[in-house]
Amino acid sequence: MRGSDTLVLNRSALPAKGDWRREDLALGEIRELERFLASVEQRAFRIARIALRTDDDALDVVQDAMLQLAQRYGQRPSAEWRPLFYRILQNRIRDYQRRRQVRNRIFAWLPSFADKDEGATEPDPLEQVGDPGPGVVEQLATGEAMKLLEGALGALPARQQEAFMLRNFEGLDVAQTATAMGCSEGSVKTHYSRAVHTLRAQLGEAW
Amino acid sequence: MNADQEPEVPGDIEARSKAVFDTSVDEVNARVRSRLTQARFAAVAELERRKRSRWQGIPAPATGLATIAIVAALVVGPLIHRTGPVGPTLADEDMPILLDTDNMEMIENMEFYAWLDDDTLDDDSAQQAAQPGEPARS
Repeated sequence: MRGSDTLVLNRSALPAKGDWRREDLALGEIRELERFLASVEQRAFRIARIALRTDDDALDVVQDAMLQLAQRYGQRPSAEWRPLFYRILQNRIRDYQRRRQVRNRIFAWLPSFADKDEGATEPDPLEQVGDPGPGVVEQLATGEAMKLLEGALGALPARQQEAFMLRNFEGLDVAQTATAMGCSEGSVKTHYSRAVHTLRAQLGEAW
Repeated sequence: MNADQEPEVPGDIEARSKAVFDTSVDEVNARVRSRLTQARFAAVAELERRKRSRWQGIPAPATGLATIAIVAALVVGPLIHRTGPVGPTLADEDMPILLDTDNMEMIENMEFYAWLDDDTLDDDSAQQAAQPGEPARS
């Protein structure tokens, strides 16, 4: 009988083995990215929320940052993701802030919008400290301390705010913060130090 | 100390603000968490799509080598182990067809094609199919 002479082939096992290994590796990297994003998404949202002051804008920039990280840097080693992610996030925040400034200038130029938008788009953060009626996040449980902190951070110049949040909240070291901010390490130290001094002056007594 | 130099040890303001921030992160509401989860899934799906397209786009030379190895095993293996009469062998013109990676099914069904090609079997079948009294077709 011929059956004893023939080589029995299992097509699914033989040629696909290498492919499986490659796919396993790819799946591992994908899961790693998912874990990374899950570990930073809520913190990134809070940082964006402090900088932009609305939930929807903060969600938009975090979503963009996640997608861009996957598109542009998903193939890079996972150790590089953290500063890269925050760099994308900070760039997106700055884009939103610039866009908002331009919009404000246009609306300010139009008399019909000037009165309505002046207070709403450029609020004084310190004046907001005692305001009991903002968004859902605050109402749930952010607390008075967070409101004070948000107000004080909101009053900082953007670069000081970035340096403080990345260094202090996210625990990035000076080099990583410099990468995320796109500046020198010396600049990071300067911005951070000034931020701490300002915050101490504003919050010291309240805290 | 220079006022513009970062302090080496975190002060009260830094420690307190970090604690407040961490608490606020834990208290992000369900709507925001849901939106963040959706955004994460979209980002992961994007990476998966990119990796899959890259993975499928590779010509995969390993697959071609594996095919050659299988064909070699099919041709040489039976010759080495066969003790009885030598069966049908592959003609030269069969090799390009077999080496084509699209023809894996043909490799799987090699035994069937060999059976089809078996002259002896054809003769037997022809004789059985022939009407009594009529000569068998050659």
